[in-house]
Amino acid sequence: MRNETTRGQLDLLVLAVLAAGALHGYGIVSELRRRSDEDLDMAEGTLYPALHRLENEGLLASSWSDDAPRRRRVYQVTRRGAQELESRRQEWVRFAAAVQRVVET
Amino acid sequence: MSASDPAVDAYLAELSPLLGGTARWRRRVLAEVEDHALSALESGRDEELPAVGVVAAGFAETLARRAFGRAEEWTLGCAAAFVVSTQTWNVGGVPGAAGWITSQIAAAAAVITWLRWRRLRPAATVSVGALALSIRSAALAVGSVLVALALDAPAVLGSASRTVEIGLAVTGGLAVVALYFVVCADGCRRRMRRLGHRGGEPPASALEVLRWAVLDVGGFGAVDRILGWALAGRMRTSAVVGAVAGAALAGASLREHGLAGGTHQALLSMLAAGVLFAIEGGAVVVSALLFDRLLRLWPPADQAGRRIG
Repeated sequence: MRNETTRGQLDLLVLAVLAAGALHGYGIVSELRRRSDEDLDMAEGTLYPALHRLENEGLLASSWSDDAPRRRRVYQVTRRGAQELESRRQEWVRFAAAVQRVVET
Repeated sequence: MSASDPAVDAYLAELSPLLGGTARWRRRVLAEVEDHALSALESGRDEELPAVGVVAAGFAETLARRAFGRAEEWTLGCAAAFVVSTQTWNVGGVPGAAGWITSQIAAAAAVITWLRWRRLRPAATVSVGALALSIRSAALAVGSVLVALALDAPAVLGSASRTVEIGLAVTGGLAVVALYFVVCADGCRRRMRRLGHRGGEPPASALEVLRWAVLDVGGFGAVDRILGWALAGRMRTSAVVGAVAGAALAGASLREHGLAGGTHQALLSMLAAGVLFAIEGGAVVVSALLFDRLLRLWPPADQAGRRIG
């Protein structure tokens, strides 16, 4: 999948992955690959700035995890983040359906 | 796999000086990048570490956005405090005129800063160019406030009441803090450029950002086609600003003189307001042309005939 395509939906993808439970950065990338059957990937240079930005906006919260083999920052979706995810999910579904209709005609 | 993997250590040593920010923030970033790299090694996937410059540029953008977000808040605060404070000042002559002009420049630049940031803030990535224009408008707003304060403060303090002194001090304080964050944001933007930051949409003109404020709401199709969208928009902008300024002046005139002197007096007052409105309108057009050079109010000439964005 093209990088720009993934980057365009970065926030939605991150929020959707984290909605299932708290994860650290590499865990988010792994989960994204798993759920997309390895079609989607996310580079470090894109992921962490996005996580920090979403945290600044109050959509994510983060804390250091003690039960990891080393210092590890874990992220989870806040209540506002969950609302934002729902709104973006609906927007995406409408958009994807519209593109599908155009492409198939 | 231990945390002392030599390749990862070398990578972090290379990344660290490129990060900027506070020591605490750098420690957090380095810990996250280290955890990511070691997790990748442990997972057994054949993954290459991304180029240090690319990672650092992404984090530079994070810092730039954070600093500019604060700069925008403080800029709006200082511009608002300035506009409110000047209502209590009674300064005549050149300082008074300079204060009047700079307060309008500050208010307009602050509004442009706010509108640009509203558009940029939710974007996944922000380009260096878009950030540069936003920083420039914030710098113009804060700079105008500081210049006006420097010009007016001696006269204001000479006949000061306690309220005026407090307003002056609050505005000055807010302006200094705003300037600090503007400088911080610009430092981060320079780092983004140095690191070769890519991504984000090219900067839009303020007219595109201001679309709702310039009556670009449909119904002007024929005018847009004949004059070109940018020129028609430019005329709408002048009309909107002129109408607001004219209404404010007419209102002030009526408030001052009322209708006690009869319709004839009211008409004379309105005429005086009209003259002031014409002067104001001319000043708006001249300022808008100067603003365009600095803050890119309108799309470039090669895009002026069509809608963008």
